[in-house]
Order: sequence, then structure tokens, then C-alpha cells
Amino acid sequence: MSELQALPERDGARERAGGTGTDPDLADVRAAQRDRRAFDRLYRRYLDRVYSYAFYQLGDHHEAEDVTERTFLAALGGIDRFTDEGATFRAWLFRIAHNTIANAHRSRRRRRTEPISDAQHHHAPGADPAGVVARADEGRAIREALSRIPADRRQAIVLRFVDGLSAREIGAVLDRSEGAARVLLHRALRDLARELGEGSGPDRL
Amino acid sequence: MLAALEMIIRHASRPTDAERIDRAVSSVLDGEPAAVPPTLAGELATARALRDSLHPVPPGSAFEASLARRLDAATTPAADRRLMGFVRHHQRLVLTGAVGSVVVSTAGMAVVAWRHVHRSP
Repeated sequence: MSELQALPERDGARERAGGTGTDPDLADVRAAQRDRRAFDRLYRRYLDRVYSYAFYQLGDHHEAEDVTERTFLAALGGIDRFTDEGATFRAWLFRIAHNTIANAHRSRRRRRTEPISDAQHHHAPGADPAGVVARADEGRAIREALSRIPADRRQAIVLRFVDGLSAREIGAVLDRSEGAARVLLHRALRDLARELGEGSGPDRL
Repeated sequence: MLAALEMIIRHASRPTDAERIDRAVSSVLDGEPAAVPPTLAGELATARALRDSLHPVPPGSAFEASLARRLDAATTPAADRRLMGFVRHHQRLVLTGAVGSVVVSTAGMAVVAWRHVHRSP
């Protein structure tokens, strides 16, 4: 499937498209539509986040690089098709990444998947070593728990906590309504709380 | 009847657990205090742990530069790319040609000027 397929178009899926009316990237998108060299600003802004999204889904740096490259090349190629009436630019970009990752999953279905365990950590210089170790242990436990929950819930968590997308934008990426994206996030948090031993009660959803 | 209707309206306008936890997550991500009912305390604690533990994973600098070059190449029209490729591969030849052209032009202009000055009456 083409990565650009099934993107929200001008008249379709507007309800699920994550449009907010205040897209902070719109000026740069317009500039890139006039002169593609201006796309570089969007690339610099979203490289780490798109790469992280791919890495947290695939657990492999090489595959994450491949997905990132395909995502940005597809976004550059299709930038003229982007319209702010449908989705925010970042929801549109992550939708491309999402489709590219789905293709990567399909192509490696028979291959073994490594758990997400070697994400890089960033420690403040001079940080308390015992605290750093404790946080590293907690981080590892969380990433392992994340690899055990269903893929759509993991995607919602990464889009919310790593990439900073709103529930509406997550809905646009995953082709769901804003309300459904909120429920997905809630279920994901509940699953993780249970995995991490922080559950607060019986299954309520 | 009216009381039942009021109860239905009150119930319908009450935020769901998913809405409550989404609002709390926004506060957590913004570094603001967040409060939820005790039944959602586990989810809120997990949200705080996720905020502290999940970070963007930056790609390698070699990959970043390589992709930037690929995107740059994709933004340049094909004819320009061919010309730039030619210039890069034959930089010395192009430079020699340009300098030579300037020298010949200057010499030509000097000859014309000399002949103009020394023209016989």
C-alpha cells in the first residue's frame, strides 16, 4: 500500500482528521508548497519524533531509519496535496509514518521482533547515580510493558507521550474519532498500570 | 418526569473516565498538577511514569545528514541537478575555463584599446 494512500482529503474524514484550526506548522507548509527547499525546516522539526515513533513500534534502528526515510520522502512528494482543512500537518505526517510502519510490519511478519529495550536515555550531567539507575530500571520496565500491550494502544501511548499529539490528532493518525482515541489511550494506560503493578481496580472499560 | 430528565442531562454532561484521564494527561505533560478520582489513580501514576521515562530517540547524525542530502536532491529540479553534478565533477576544468575566458576577454579589450590609441591619422 502506498504510504500516501488513505490520507484525509479535503472533503473526506474531516471529523477524524485532527484539524484544530490552529496548525503551528501551516506557515512552513505553505512555504514548502511554494518552494520545496523550505521543507527542510519541517524535516528538522519532526525528524526525531518520526524516527522515535518508528523505533518504538519496530524496536530496530535500521528499520526505523528506513521508515523515517520513506515517510519524509513521501511527505515531500505529497506536500502539495496537504490541505489545512483536513488535518494538522503533524497528524498528516504521522499518518504517513503509520502507514509506512504498517507496510514494514507486513514485510517482516515472519521475522522475530526484538522487544523495545535499547532506547537511548538522556541524563542531566551531574545527576545522582543511584537516581539515574532507578530511573533507568523504571524506564526499562515501562518499555518492556509497552512491548506487551496491543499495537494500537502502544501507538496511542507513543504518539501522546513521545510525539506530543493530542487525542484528536491521534484519532487522525489511527483513523478513529477523537472520542475513540481517548478511550484507546485510557485502555492503554490501564493495561500499562496493570503490567507495572499500579492497577487501580477491576476492568472498567 | 422532570427530575428524571435532569438526571439524564446531568449524567450525559458528566465527563467520561477517558475524558478525565485525557485532561489529566495533558496537565501531566504540561508539568501542571493533575487530579483524578481514586479509581483512576493507577492510570495517572502510569502517565507520570511514562512522562519521565519515554523520550524521543534521536537517529544517528550520519543518517540525519544522509536523509537531508536525499531530500535536498529531491527538491532540486533535474536539470539543475545535472548541471550541479557536472560542476562538482569538473570543478577544476570549469574554473580554468572561467579564468581563461576572463583573461582572453581582458587581453582582447587591451588590444582594442591599444589599437584605438595608436590608430594612424
